[in-house]
Amino acid sequence: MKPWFTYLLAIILGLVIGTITVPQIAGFVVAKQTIENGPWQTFDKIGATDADMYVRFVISVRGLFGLAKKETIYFNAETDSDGLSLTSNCTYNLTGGPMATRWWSITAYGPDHYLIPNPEKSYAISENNLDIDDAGRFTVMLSRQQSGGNWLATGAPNDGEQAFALTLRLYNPTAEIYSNMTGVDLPQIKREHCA
Amino acid sequence: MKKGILALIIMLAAAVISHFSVVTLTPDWIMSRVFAGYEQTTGVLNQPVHAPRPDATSRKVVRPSPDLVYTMCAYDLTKGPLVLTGPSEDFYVSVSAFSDRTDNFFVMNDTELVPKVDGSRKFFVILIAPEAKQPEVADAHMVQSPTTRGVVLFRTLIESEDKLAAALEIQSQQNCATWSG
Repeated sequence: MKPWFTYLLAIILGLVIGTITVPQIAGFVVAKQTIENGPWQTFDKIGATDADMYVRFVISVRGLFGLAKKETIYFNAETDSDGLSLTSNCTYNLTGGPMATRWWSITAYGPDHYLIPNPEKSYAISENNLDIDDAGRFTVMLSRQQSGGNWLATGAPNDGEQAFALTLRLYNPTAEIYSNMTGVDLPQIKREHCA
Repeated sequence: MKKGILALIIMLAAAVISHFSVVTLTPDWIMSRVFAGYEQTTGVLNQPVHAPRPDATSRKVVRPSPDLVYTMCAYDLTKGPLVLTGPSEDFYVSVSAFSDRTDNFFVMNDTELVPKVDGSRKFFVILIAPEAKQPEVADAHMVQSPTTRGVVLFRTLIESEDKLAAALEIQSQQNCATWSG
């Protein structure tokens, strides 16, 4: 093989390897900065001016225009409380209680990071569209099939199986949350059954 | 043997260059797409776009919140400061600004508003270019943008379905424009 052809192949191979490893390496680096609370994950540097290049990359792809921690904390869950990936062919019970914040909501997203199409246009739950008991606690069914009571769609009834994720937004959280991000009481997600 | 080692070094160098290029340039590329889409919608920067409530068809921004209605303003400060105005209500409303590197360098919500001279509580923010001199404007909250271009987002909470009309009314009055003094 001519030397120039070998070097050209080396350049092409290097460019391909360097590009396709970006998501893995970015995920690895950002994971080291992740704050975990049960199935929920967040990190300090969303929107921050001193965020490193990997955080900027991940935010631009998965959470463009996310607000800095001073204003809103975004917790994301891609697994249930037992660490199993969230998938639309399973039914889950999400249970939680009062959260020390001005406003909170939980939104379901498909693998493309957009809202999940469903006939009921059920995209999110918040303290104002749930039945909550006197102690401030609530249970929400997550499933493709609509159920009575509190419910959040993870797909349309006839959709195939797909991964989904949840984002818990805490607007203007209190100091109690900032001081205990890993231990503050956040909703639990329990798998009930799978199709 | 020598040729093989040199090819390996070239491959590693190409891998490092492409890796860091993709990581550092992706945010810029995504922001340039936002600007291009915005200019297609408005035809011009420094004008507000009152986006419809997000649903499953929304594709402008990833992970939109269906509890909010957004007013977006892609800005360019080369022609002067940008003035941001909007009313407040008894539910969450905020205005935030992002540099063209995606940094959220400014955010203010309704609870942080200082009553104006006439007693009203309104957003009145003037965004100025990096190193530009601040104009003398009574009652305005001055913010220096770290970059000449960027994006402003107003977020208005739809606290409940029966407050949707009130949220849309607030959204319709959110504005951005080049400051004319």
